[in-house]
Amino acid sequence: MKGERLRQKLLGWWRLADQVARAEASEKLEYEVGEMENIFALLTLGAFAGLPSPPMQLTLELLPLMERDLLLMLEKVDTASDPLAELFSTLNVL
Amino acid sequence: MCSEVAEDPRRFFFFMGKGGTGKSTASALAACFLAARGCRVLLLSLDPAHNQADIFERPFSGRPQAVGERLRAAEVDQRYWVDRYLRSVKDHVRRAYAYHAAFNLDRWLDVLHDSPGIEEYGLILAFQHYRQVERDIDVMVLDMPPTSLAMKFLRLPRLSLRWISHLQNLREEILRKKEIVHRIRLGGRELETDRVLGRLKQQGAFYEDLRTLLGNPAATRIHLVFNPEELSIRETVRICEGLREIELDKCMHPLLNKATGKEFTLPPDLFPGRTVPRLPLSDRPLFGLRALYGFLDEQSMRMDFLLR
Repeated sequence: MKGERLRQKLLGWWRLADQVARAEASEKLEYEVGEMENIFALLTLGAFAGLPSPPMQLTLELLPLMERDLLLMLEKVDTASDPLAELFSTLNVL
Repeated sequence: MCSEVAEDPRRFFFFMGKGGTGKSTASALAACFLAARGCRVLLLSLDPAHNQADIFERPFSGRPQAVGERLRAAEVDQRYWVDRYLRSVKDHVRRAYAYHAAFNLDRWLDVLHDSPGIEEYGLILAFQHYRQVERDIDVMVLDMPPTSLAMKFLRLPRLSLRWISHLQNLREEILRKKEIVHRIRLGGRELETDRVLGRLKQQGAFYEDLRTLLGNPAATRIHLVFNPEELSIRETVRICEGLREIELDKCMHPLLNKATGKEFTLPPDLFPGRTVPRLPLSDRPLFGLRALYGFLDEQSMRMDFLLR
């Protein structure tokens, strides 16, 4: 009986540790994915934020599928102080 | 010539050059000549300032009309194609977006009519439409707009492909990383297919097909029409440089129009080892079918370059 309680406790700790480790492991990657998605949106829909962009028809082809990306981009443009310099230099894109 | 190429036997003859060199007349003569030689021809004007109606002395529209035996002609309304395209984008955006986002985007879409790049895309859409619909022709003769717009038209597939390749790589990298996050967090559940990547691939295939067609000398000829005078020759040199940059030089064919016997010098490396075909300056206006065929009767040997 005592052994079973101890086993359950250990199992609980293990699960918690596993969750924390998974969250930590994916947190940075998720941040990076978010930034990369923002770069993709800037490259594709940059015309809407006053940036150089691909041929307009390419932007328009992707536009209907990119509502989430567009909102993410506008949010970043609003909040970040200097998003372009930071993003392009950190991730070495373009 | 009309049935030589097995897969897609159709050929596409573009006529471009400096304004006033006689591209429209040369393309009309080429269309009449090829039709007289047994080819089924569609003469398509992509020049927003259409001249074919004046040359053939009859109105044309976007719907091909019979002009003579085996010869039909149409004039592309580029504005119509741009409108049609923007309307479809607008509909898609309205359907896909939440109300507040679509509301703001509507303002942008309204000004896109005059956005850089849209004009040539309208022409690309029109060209692809006729290419798809006109299966029963042997040759499509294209009367191109002045140099600047014509070069943008020819450059667009290559330029778009460069962007598509870059964006596709970035999107695939994003998806690869998203997949890792999902695997860590949710233990191997598969991600949904990315529609943006799908659309990029679809666009890539569209432009790759166009780039292949334009760069294939067996299917495409780009006739550079020039006159024996300095400005026209200089512009032709610049067009050649532009076409070399986008690797369309194998399809270039010079054509001296309004030849008067006056001497002219082309840079020796422009068309090395090639004889430049000459169409003489006509002593009467070339308006109407009778005048065109009359000119061809006198000069038919000079048009043989189209059959080579």
